[in-house]
Amino acid sequence: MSYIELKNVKKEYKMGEVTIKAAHDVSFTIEKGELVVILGPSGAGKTTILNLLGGMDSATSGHIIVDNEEITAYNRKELIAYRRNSIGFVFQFYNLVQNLTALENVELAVQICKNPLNPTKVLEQVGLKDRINNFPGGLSGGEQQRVAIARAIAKNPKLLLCDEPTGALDSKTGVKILDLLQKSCRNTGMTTIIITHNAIISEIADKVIRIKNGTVEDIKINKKPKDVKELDW
Amino acid sequence: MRLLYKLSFVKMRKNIGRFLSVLFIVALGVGFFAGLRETTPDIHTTLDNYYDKYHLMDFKIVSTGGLTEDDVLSLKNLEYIEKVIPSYSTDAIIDGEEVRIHAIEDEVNTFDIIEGKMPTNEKECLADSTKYQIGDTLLITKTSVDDILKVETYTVVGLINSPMYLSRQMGISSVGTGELQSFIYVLKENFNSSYYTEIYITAQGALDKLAYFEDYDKITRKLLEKLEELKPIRETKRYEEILEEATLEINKIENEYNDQINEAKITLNDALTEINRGREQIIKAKNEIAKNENILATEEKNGITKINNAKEAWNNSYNTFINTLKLAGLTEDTLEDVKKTLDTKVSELEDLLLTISKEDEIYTTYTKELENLKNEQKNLETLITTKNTLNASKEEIEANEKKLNEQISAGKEELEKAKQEVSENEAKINSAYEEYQEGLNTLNNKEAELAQKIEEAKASLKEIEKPEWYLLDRTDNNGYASIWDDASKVDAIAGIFPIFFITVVALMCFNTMNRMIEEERGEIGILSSLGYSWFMIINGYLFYIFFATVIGVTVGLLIGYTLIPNVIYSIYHANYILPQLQINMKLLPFFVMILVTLGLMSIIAITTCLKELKNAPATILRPASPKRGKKVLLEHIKFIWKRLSFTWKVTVRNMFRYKKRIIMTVLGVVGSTALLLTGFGLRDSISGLAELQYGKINHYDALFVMQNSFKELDDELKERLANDSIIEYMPIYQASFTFDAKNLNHDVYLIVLNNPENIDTFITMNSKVNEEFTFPSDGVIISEKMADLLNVKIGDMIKIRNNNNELVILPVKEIIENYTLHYIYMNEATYEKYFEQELSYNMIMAKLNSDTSHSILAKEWMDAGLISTINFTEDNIQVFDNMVGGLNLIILLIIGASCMLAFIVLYNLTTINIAERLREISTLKVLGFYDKEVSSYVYRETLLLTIIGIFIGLGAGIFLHMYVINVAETDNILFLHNILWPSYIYSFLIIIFFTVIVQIITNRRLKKIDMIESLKSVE
Repeated sequence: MSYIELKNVKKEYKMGEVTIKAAHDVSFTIEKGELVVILGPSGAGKTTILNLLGGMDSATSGHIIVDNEEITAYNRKELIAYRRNSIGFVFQFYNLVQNLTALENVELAVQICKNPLNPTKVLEQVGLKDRINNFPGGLSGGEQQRVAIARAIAKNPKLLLCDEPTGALDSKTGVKILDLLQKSCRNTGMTTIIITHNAIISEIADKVIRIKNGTVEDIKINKKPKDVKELDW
Repeated sequence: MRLLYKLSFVKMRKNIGRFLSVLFIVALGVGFFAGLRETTPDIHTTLDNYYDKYHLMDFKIVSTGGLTEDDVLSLKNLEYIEKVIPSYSTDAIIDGEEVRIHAIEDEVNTFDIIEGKMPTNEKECLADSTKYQIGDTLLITKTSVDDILKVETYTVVGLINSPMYLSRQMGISSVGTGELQSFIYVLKENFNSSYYTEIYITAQGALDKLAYFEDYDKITRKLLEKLEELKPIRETKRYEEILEEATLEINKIENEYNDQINEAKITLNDALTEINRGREQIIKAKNEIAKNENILATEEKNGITKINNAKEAWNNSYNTFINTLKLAGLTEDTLEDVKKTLDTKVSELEDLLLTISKEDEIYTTYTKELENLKNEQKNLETLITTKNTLNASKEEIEANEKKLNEQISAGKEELEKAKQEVSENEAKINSAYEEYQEGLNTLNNKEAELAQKIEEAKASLKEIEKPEWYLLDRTDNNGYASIWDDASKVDAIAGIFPIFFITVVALMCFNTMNRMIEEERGEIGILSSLGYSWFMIINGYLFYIFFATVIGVTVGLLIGYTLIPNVIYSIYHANYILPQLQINMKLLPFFVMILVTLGLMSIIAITTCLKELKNAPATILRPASPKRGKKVLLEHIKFIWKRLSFTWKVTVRNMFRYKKRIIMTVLGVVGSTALLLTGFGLRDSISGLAELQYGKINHYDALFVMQNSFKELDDELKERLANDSIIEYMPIYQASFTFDAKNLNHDVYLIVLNNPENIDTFITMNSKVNEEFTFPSDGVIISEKMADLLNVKIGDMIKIRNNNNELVILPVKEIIENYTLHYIYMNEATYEKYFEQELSYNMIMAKLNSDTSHSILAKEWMDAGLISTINFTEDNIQVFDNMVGGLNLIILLIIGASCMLAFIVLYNLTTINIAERLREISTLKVLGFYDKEVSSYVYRETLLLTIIGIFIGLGAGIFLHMYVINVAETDNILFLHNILWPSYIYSFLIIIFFTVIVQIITNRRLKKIDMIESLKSVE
């Protein structure tokens, strides 16, 4: 049995009288420690899948099993606990608390989970040793995203979910961020899922899942994933 | 353009909470402002109309010498005068209560007939609607001027209220305890007086002016000056008149007396003549009797002699006869028989002779013998005749004797009768003479009396004081001035509360609109990029505001105009008898209010919109960059900062980040808390008063108001007071006086204590100026509120007046704690010194056994005819509570308003807080914060601010309370100035309660936040 398993997952939104099928018949598996890229054009349903996987939304039908736990069966409170202890999120727009310093933003996440890592160390790992007491407003976009990644990693989650982590960054900074994600995945063995519309990024993944029109188009396993530095922008 | 309006409607519907909160904030602010502002004008109009409708006089003249038709005529000639109406009134006792009786007038001081009809005859009356019922029979037992009323028993046919009696405390009465309790009106003809007791005057043009205002004063002042000019002239005139009248009266009395005396003298003389005549007649009668007695005696004597002579003659004849008989050998008794025998013999012999011839010798013998026999027979016949004659004459003599005796005794009887009659007449004459003597004495006494009386009358003539006119204006009516004073207080309170409300309301609106526009930045950007001019965009918002404002102002004004003045007015009903309040729905303030509110709101909308619109559409389309986090001062204090938990750090930083919101939250909470505390504090200030005054200070149980005043307790009273139910007692003298302070007349009770050393048993006197209270031996004690009003301290003099306006000046030696009414206490010596008259006690203060039945005690004393009434202290608590009960309404109003304010402010700010921090909240949710943790993260700040606000508010509340107390305090009640601790707790808890309620409501929204949606957007 795989570490993560999605079986016939379906998500529908009701907008008045119209039902929008955001995802249907989505099935795939992910092994522990894998770096997975979910690839697809905008509006294909990538984020929906990520949200379902991250416990931010519940599926209309189907099953999602993470580490032997069926999260589709969770109630609201269990979902929150799941997010709290098992998931690390990285967003396109960082979503840092403006009123907290870099360190505090990490601490904010850390203080509520079971086995956190040391926030200062994590920030050092992401290369922000000198910036830990800065407020997000005083950091560049790349730096802010590093803080966001540090915040996600420091929770020591089972799953690191990144939604277009480089979407708001220039390519140079984007590379650095991807590098950071890849390294952390390899060093810590943390299962990492990156969502992107950028096919190039998929080259660094162990597994690439293509999504189109709300369903899985194909799943490709990279026998030899590229190093970020080898990517050709 | 139409689309933009449509968009506004959509916004209202979509976020109905925000629309309603703007609407209600406006309604609350405007309602309160307008309501409080209009209260005093409404009361003013109501009162002025009341005075005008019932022709309340402008001036009243009373004089110590009464008023006459001449006074009326000279008044009528004055300039500025409109009506001069002479009338009557008197104070009376009805059913043990002091009641003023007025004459009904058509043109002045009329009244509102609540029920019933006008009196049609002299036995009917109109009466105070608060005291009497139709059909009540009123028996007048005493009037201040004797016999001033023709009828003593009246039937109530109508119930009335009068602008003459606004206050439930009606003033001073000249009879009874001195406190006027009620009033009635009777027909003018019922008064029986040679002079008018008062003259009512109205001033020209005063009716058109609003009472209390300067215009009215100006008009009446002109007339007052004229009246004052006339006053001394009329006083002198009247003095002369009275002197003349009095002199005439004395003469008349003297003449009457003299006539009476003369008449009496004549009667006495006549009586004397009669007596003398009687005496003469008696003497005459006595003489007559004596004469008749003599005659009778002579007659008796003569009669007896005659009879005796006759008896003697008869005895001689009889003796001769007897002797003759004896010689013949006969007795009286045998005489007849012998004769018979002889007669027989004679006849026999004669017969024999017939037979014998004449020649016979025998014959001759016989003839001779017959001759002899016949001679003998003749002798016998003579003897018998003599005997018969003797018998007859004896009988005659006896009859004569009897007749004489009868005659004599009848004469004697007659004489006896006459004697008795004479002696009776004599007695009568003697008593008549005694009567005459008495009459003579009386006459002499009367003459002496008259001389003395005339002497006295002439002496008192010299003592007649010059009559004094009192020119009284409307303020003489108890309540006329004080109700205005009270209404003006509302104005003062009305001055601060609305400013407070409007400030908070303006800030809230500003905040809400600001937030709304900021939230819709994107929309503005789109509209702007589509080519809508900023004018059109702003117009869309103005449309929104217009709706909220117009509806809000309308709702607010409707409620504010009707509810608030009525609530405040109802408070006055406790102390005053008032007509229905006239609510004036003024349109001008309505439009002004709408325009001002609209203007304010528009400025807010325009400035906020313009702030956004000055950027290029492209910039507006992008979201505003978030405010950067900043270190706060506290962070530099490392040892504190380190200890703070995360959420606390965020809380502290947030508080400094969103300064505007923080200030508003704190301000709103401070305002609500201060108002709440003031509300509760007012309740504390009032509710404890009765208990304090009648439990701790005046702790005697009963006050016996005696029927007759006394210098010392007599045995009967002492015996009665030795009753088991009375523990201790003290005779006191109590009377009502007035004093002037701050242009108002105040009533004060003057109490003289019989035994001041024992005062602790009845009244606790706590000095407000000295450490220890001592009862002054010379000088008076006054209650603290009176000292406040007069602004006097120990050693100062106070002036008080009785109901005749006579002035007494007293030195203040002590000021004591006291909460309701005003009191002056002193001992007997002080009273006699400053009042220059002897004191007699009129009441007894008593401490009762706790199980005494009040009604039984009262009945016992009433039945014994000793008291006119008993006042039980316990009842005063009830009366007092009723009096201040109305204030509870205003307290409720304040508490209600502050609760509403608290709710709206907190709801508004919390909603804005959530809206502003949507993204942050979503992030927390994604990070796996439980709902509770998210709530506490968000609400901690509000809660902390609320608590800070509460504490500042409690502090501010103390000052606000102090201010309100100072303004709202009535002149005869001293409010407690401290707020009790439960009030602090209540205020605290109520605000916390609303905070929690608001959080419960907004928490639902917090839960519903869609984190996916909010995180998707760009920041």
